[in-house]
Amino acid sequence: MNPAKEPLGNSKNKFFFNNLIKASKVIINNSPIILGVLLLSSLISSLKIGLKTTGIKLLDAVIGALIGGLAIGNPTNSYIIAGESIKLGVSIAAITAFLISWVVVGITTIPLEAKFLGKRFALYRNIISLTMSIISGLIIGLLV
Amino acid sequence: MKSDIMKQQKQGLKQKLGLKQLFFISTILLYIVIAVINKTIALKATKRFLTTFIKLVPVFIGVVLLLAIINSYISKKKLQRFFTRRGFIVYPVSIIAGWISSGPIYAWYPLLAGLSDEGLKPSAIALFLYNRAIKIPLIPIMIYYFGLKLAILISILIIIGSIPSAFIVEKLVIRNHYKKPKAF
Repeated sequence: MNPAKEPLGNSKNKFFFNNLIKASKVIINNSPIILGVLLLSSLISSLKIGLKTTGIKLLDAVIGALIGGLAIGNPTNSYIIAGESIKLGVSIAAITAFLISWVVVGITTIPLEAKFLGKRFALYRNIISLTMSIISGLIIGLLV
Repeated sequence: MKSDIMKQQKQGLKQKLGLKQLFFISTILLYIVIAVINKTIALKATKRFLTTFIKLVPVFIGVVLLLAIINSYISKKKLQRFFTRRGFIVYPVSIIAGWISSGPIYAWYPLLAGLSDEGLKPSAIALFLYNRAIKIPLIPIMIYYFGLKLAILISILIIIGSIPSAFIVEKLVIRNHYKKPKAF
């Protein structure tokens, strides 16, 4: 067997292993935020501070969507923040809107999006996506 | 002079640590302050944190595995090849591509701009960007926190919501971009 030629299975395994390391690094890089959020939510729940909701599902969804739209970062953090917020009493309408808008709305990245995909596209897409995340939050709030 | 040096030291520390690390250190400091004021609450919070953390470890192992599998089998080039297909197929492709795409959104802008120049419709781009809200590797976390039923419900809503929003965006972009010339 030619030693220069590596068996195909081996190179595939190596490729997967490299991707496994890369994926682990993504989680490790985000671990300070993940651990910080977990620590904070544990503290808040121990202090028995329930996060208040407005009581109006539409307003909850609007607030959730706006916070999510302004936030930037790995979606993993959004799931942890949302999951821990539910435990603290935040309404599901706000959580859903927050989760969706975290990824689909990028208020802070509009200039960059506009540069590549056009001003109109960036502006309309973000406005429509924000509206749709509010509607989605409202629907989940009414269903659950 | 002294304040300048202190400022530089502070900036250097910030650069070395980064905002993520500073956030984490601040929460630890908060715990220390709470422990000084009320030991019982700090202990209770630490216990709660450890319980959640232990429960989350297997969930994150699942996330890492799913990320590695997706990155091993689906590359950016492969996605690009799918995107260049013509006809109706580009819409389901955009939706699925959104689910499996990884990395920050701004990393995708240059590729999407290039594909747009090649004729990819604005609705397909909007579909792709909206469906990024569903993250296949993060499904274990979603199920852990929201339960299977709610996770499915939210995912379905994202897919359904992406369709009208994508076509509304396209209508608005095209309507305002291609203004008919005024009649004399």
